[in-house]
Amino acid sequence: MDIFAPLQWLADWLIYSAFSIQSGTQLADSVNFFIYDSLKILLLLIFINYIMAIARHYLPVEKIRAFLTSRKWYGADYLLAATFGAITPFCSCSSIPFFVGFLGAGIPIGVTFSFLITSPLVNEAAVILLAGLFGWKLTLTYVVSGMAIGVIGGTVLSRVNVQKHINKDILDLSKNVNLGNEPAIQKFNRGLWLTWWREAYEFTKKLMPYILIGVGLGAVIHGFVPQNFFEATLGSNAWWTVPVAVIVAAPLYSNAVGVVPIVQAFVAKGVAIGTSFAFMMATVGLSLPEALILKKVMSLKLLVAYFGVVTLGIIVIGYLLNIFF
Amino acid sequence: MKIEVIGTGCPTCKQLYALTLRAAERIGKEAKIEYIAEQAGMKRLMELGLMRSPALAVDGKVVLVGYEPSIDKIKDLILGKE
Repeated sequence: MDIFAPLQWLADWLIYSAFSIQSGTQLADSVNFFIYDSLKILLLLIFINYIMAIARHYLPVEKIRAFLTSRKWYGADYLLAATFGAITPFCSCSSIPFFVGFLGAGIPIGVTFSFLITSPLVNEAAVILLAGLFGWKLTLTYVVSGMAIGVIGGTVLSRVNVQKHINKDILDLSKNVNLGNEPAIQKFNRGLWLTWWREAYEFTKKLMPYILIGVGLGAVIHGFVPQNFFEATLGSNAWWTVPVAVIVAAPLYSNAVGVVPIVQAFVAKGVAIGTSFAFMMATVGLSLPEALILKKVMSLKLLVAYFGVVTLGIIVIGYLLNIFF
Repeated sequence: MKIEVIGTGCPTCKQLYALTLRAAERIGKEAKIEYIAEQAGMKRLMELGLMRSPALAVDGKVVLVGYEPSIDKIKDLILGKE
């Protein structure tokens, strides 16, 4: 049974009875998609943001750093960093303190990159939305692919000469790192339920504009783009559609949450899964604001290498998904 | 009472500073609010063992990291209710 069925009834009732839009028209299809998807995404997000507030409370990135430096990991740290990257919400605001904090603690540059690549790419909000809209199998494939890009990308970038390619100010700052001074994790008390709820509410509220724009665009595609439009223009998902999707998506900047509804509409109109997912990953993983921030940390050469590795990874995953799904 | 808003200078940090000013105003208590950003902010974050930005500290104790909450929440944090 579909647990979201009541939302569909609500959307149907609003459109056909309250707004009296004639069923079967393009407008009705668009508005229906908009109402149903916005409500569904909103519920999923509040749920996941609550869970993430709890996760952030017990597993802040400072603790992760302490864990990574607690012993020698012999390469397992790449996978650990990618895993932490996947479960830790990360704001590009924190890129610089994150970089300085990791370097200062003596964590290898490659491991730092594994975290940095995976964090925006595999994002808990995107995961829950993908699971809600595409099912678990595809979602799991997405998570594993994202982490693979993180591990492989980090390994490739581990050969970088830190002294040469990391900004001198950043290296100087990393000497200030005060390990073991992290604020203690507050013990559980009933008040925390409310604190987490507020955090979940604030996070969800902040994502609302992305969701509404994303679902809005998705709704337009859903209702007004002819069924065979993409097939006609994209030549039945020819090989070049994956790199083109990445190139088109790279300058776009959005939170993952905003792209999922668009991707859903793409897939419904016959764009191949891998091509659609490559579009999503590139929008989220290759962002200009992030590049501008990272330019303060590293040389242009390293920045280009970083984006090159991520781009290549996304394209490979796009092809693999197109082959297997 | 000394309140520090520490950040890298990102939009979220500025937002947190603005909200903290308003929260302190509502409390009406004498408080010194300091906004530490850019290089100095980074240095302070590292001293406090933090890796997320922005942060709010009251009398040298970190009470909030990584996001900007509502004004009411900041009020509670400043007053030590949480």
